[in-house]
Amino acid sequence: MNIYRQEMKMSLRSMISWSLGLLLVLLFFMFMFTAISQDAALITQMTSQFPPAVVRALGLSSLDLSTVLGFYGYVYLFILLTGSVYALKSGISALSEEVRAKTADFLVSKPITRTTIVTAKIMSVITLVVLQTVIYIGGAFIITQLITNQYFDEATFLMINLSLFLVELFFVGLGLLLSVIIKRIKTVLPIALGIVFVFWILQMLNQSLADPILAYLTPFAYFDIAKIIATGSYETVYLFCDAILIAFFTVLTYIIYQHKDMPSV
Amino acid sequence: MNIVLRELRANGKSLIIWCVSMVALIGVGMVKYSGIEAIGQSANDLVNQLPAAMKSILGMNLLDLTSIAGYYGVFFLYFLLLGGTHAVMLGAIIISKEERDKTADFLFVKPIQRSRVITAKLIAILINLAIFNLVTLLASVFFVAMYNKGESINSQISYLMIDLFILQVIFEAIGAGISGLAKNTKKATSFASTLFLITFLLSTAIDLYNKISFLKYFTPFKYFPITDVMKGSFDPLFLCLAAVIVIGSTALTYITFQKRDIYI
Repeated sequence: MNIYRQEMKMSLRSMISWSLGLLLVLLFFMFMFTAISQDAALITQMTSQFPPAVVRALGLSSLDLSTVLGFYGYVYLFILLTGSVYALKSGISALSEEVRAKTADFLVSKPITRTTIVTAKIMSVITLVVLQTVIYIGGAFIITQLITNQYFDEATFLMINLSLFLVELFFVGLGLLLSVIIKRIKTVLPIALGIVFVFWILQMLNQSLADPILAYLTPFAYFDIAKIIATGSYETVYLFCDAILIAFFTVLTYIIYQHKDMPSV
Repeated sequence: MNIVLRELRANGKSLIIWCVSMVALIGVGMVKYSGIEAIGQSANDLVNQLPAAMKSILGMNLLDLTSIAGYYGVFFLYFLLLGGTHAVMLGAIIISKEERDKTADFLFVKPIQRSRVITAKLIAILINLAIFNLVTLLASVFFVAMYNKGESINSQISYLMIDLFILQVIFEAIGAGISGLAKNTKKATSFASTLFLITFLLSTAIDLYNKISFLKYFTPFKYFPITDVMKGSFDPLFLCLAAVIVIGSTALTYITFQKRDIYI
């Protein structure tokens, strides 16, 4: 419990500033909605006549940018990108920070099992991600409501935004695993940025190729916003895939951390 | 000289990882081209009907996607993203890491001036950036040639690589400048990456809504439009702006580190 409290105290502030950052990004993009929605309506009309193969190959967005949710879904990709960087960063630093701060020997020599340490750290990161999702969804709802001033389906809106949490969990898991596999991590952010961007680019490729195998490789493909808007639900296969990978990362983290050498001063 | 070699060795592993991922990415990306090419001219006609605003939202402004040069131009945007990340992080870390690793006192008591230390480190970064750029160039030429049935586009690729290198140097200089101002590596990287993400998001926002295009001066991603670069033309105004940013940030690095207190 002490570890949990200490962790929360250390990272709460950065979580809040990242969440505000997400909201600022959203605010900035949403301001353009009214200006664009008319243009977009025209374009949607045109692209709807394209054969589906062409639409896919060109990577045309299947979102209707003239509607609130469609436009939100487009902007949401950037939110997802930024949120993922935060999640991966938090995941990587949770366990590896001790080594960097030269406090690892202090912590692991305490009369607690390593399992307890990992559990406390994971709980704290998950709490942060949950809090971030709550702050973000609340803020996003207000921003979208106020700026667009149009009706949109709240349940779908919530579904879209909850995928932020599910993708962030994936990156937290991946980050934790990386932090126990890599011997010594000196700086977290370059790794986090690099990995998230690679997944992001894979998603861009996946959008045009629509290759079923490629889609499993990147969490950004698990929650297709256009489909969520159309059906109001997630695709079970990908939800399942996300859950299995998260569980897999977490279990491996526990196992490897048991035997990890702690480089001290 | 010793510092340059030392830095090159220290960054070797991460550079290799970056280069391997670039090569893999280009390989995967060109596979996608075969899919688009198959659809051919009909797709292109459809795209041309789209209003300009929409094309830029979709990231295919003015480029003929079905030609390999046009396709590569669109794909190239992602190289800017990755190359920029690599450069801004290198810049933000390379000097401040001495304090983080508690080696600052070891380095700065050596009988060399601080400015020489910084020069050596900046040279090491430039070599890293050049290798990254060269690997991207070679991988591009190789994979493009594999799928290219028309005339060679090597000259266009080279122009794009010059563009990439300019962007890399801009972000490297900004990163180094920030690391001079920030108290420690952690602050430097988080500030540098925030700035980087903001410039990237700003460039997508400008694509989305071209009435805010006056903001393009603030985002290096918008300095050189891909279509112009592929013709080999670089806007002199923005070349000057880039030079000012690079020189200004580098000067900032030298000045701040000259008088900096070293905490161990």
